[in-house]
Amino acid sequence: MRLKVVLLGEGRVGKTSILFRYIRNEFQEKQQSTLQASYMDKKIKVGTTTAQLSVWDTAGQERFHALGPIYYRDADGALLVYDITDSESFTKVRKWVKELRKIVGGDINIVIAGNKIDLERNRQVEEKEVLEYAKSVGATHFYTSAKQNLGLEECFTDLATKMVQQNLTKLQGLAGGFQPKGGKSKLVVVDDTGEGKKSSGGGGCC
Amino acid sequence: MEDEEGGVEKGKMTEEMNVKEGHFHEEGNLSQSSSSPWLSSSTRAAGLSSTRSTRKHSVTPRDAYGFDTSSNPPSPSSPSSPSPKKGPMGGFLSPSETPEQHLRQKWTKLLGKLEKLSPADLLIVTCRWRTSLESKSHHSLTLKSVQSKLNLSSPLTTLSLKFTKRIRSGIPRDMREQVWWLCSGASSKSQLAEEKGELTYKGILKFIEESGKDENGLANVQVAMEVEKDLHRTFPNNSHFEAEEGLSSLRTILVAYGVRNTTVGYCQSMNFLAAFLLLNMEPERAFWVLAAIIEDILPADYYTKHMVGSRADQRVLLGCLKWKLPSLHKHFVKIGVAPENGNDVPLLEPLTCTWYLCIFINSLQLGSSLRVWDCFLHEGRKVLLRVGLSILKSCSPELMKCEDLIGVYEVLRNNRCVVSHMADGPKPKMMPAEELIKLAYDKSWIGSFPHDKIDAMREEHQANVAEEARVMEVRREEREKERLEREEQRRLKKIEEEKKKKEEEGGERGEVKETTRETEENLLEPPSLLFPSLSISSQQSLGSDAEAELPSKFTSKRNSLMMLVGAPLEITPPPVPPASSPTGNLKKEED
Repeated sequence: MRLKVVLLGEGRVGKTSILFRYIRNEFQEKQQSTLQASYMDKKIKVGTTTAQLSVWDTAGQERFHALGPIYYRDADGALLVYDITDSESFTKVRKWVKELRKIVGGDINIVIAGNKIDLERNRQVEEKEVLEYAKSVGATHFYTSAKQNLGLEECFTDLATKMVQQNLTKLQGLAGGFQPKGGKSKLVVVDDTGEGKKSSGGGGCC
Repeated sequence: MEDEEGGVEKGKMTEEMNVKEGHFHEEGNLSQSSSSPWLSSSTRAAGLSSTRSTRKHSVTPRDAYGFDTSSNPPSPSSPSSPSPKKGPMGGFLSPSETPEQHLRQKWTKLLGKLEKLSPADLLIVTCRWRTSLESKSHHSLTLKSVQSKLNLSSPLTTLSLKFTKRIRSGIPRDMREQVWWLCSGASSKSQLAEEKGELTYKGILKFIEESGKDENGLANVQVAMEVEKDLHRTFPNNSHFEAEEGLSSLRTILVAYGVRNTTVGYCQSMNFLAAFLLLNMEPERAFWVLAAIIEDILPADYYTKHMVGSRADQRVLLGCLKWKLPSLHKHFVKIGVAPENGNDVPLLEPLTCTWYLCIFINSLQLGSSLRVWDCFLHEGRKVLLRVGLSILKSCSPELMKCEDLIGVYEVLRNNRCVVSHMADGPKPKMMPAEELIKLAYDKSWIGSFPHDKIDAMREEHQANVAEEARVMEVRREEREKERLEREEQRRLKKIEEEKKKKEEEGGERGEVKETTRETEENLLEPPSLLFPSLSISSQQSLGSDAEAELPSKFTSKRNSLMMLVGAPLEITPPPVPPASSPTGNLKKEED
């Protein structure tokens, strides 16, 4: 099973570092800003299924969203990354959720990663806000540090599990409508209503 | 004008003209110290002192441009010592001459001749990209003068041909600044700004200084934060940009450019252009060359909001592929990488777009990038297509074996011309810069490459890309509108229920109605958001400020806002409210 994951988020939140740490267990203090869409592969086991994850990385600046649709249209999952020391970067996560809903629809699995947790002392993004938001859109939230290799395995495993389950459900659906044994699918259905309520009720989230 | 050379070079100068004559190896010229003289020149005038401390200089081996060579030994395209005696043409040189000396002599002689020209003639000889642009009607006056001056018998023509020939053979490192400054048109651009009383570089720096600083200690101008984010991520292992001085120059010219051109502001990739220029020239000149590249040499809208120009060029590239390498194009179509209809979105776009945005910096090796820049600054945008095609050609045997997009990506990020740090597997032996340039001008496969045809192709694609961007926005807005409508219906339902409940309780009708209206308003928009701020609020609810604001689409929202400013709820306001309407002015402002 080949699964495509896209890393999305504002510039300098650590998308490329996450990729290098997770796939190659490398970390470079001085990372050049990424422009070109690129990817790395990794095999991951979810239950009895082995999946080949292709993790895609690209430029974070907003105007590069113009190139986005080709990049994420066939993605099975998205890891939305923000930097806990940069509140603006969390705002961009909200935008990405909306963008994905609008362009890809409800089928994409979303995990949110608060990166640079090693810089906890400089935290600007409030935990409560993040967790509430993640819950409202039905996404899981993880804290990560590419530098100290924290939370990445958990984060990708969670995303992979969701994607594999979704794929299996789809396949079984195609094969004859049987639900997977054990019942409840963990499909993430992002409820943009909940999110919308929040944003307009609160006078604009951004 | 039929051919790109127009009146200039018809029948005389051929495209593949000659890249053979002079070899010049970038790093062969090590007579200069490895610290760029320009980066030490202070940019303090900008008042942009950094809050960060200077990074420590490491003792890693560096090439002449300050790049770390410890992990990547000098490539064949940039040998660290001059190649031995053998003359590039197989024996033109006397035994004591190295190719570099030979080339330097030729350049010195040529620059000497150029010095004697009038400013207008100088421009004609050095800025070849202008001749192609000037075939457009809006430049017709200039074109006539160019044509009359550049007839075949004119000495200017001979000089112009010689100049192009030299450029394609490479420029000695210490002369590159002067040549780039001339042939990019930056020199005349800066002069023109002064004459016309536009903001000069110094004027912009003064403006920035006077704008003061924000709470982060950054210049109080729009692009400062975006620039800052990329500053330490631009050639982070290059010694010049590890030092505060280099960073400060980079910051200054990027922020200054953002001030000069607010439509472009700052787009990621401009950091690499600016840094690359700073490795070759002093900041003020680098600033003007950057301006010339973005405003004159590249097609319009390369770096603006939807990047229509650069995206259209990816389709032009595929169009040229079909034209020049039809079998490879056919294969791409077969495996679904290139669309059958040239107007569809090419899947290679996210990959090849960076080649263009960065003008091949980071994609090609340093030596090759410099050579491509030499040609690009003199001959213009078409060089990008030549080089793009050459990369594709050089790995076409591997590409022909690919069966899907991933395979193509794999080859395109790891081949004889391009290496990505993301690529797995062994690194291939890199193609020397000389060979790449030769390939790009090799008439045997690329043949004639008239700019008229390419421009026509580009115009068509630009229109398509712009249309797609528009459709995408509309789609986004429709979804957003649907969402808002759903939300509103739910709210109305809720309100209705509440109303019924109250009615049942025996409350007074009229009062209830008033309350309902207010509740509705509050739900839709906080009362503080009046018309002038509508564009901001709709942006927020649209989810992206990259999305166009078409608030007129949100009738429900507008109704609520009309209510806020006193217009009756029942009216569905026309796109432009009548002048008598109290909202008229506000609406106009917002539009």
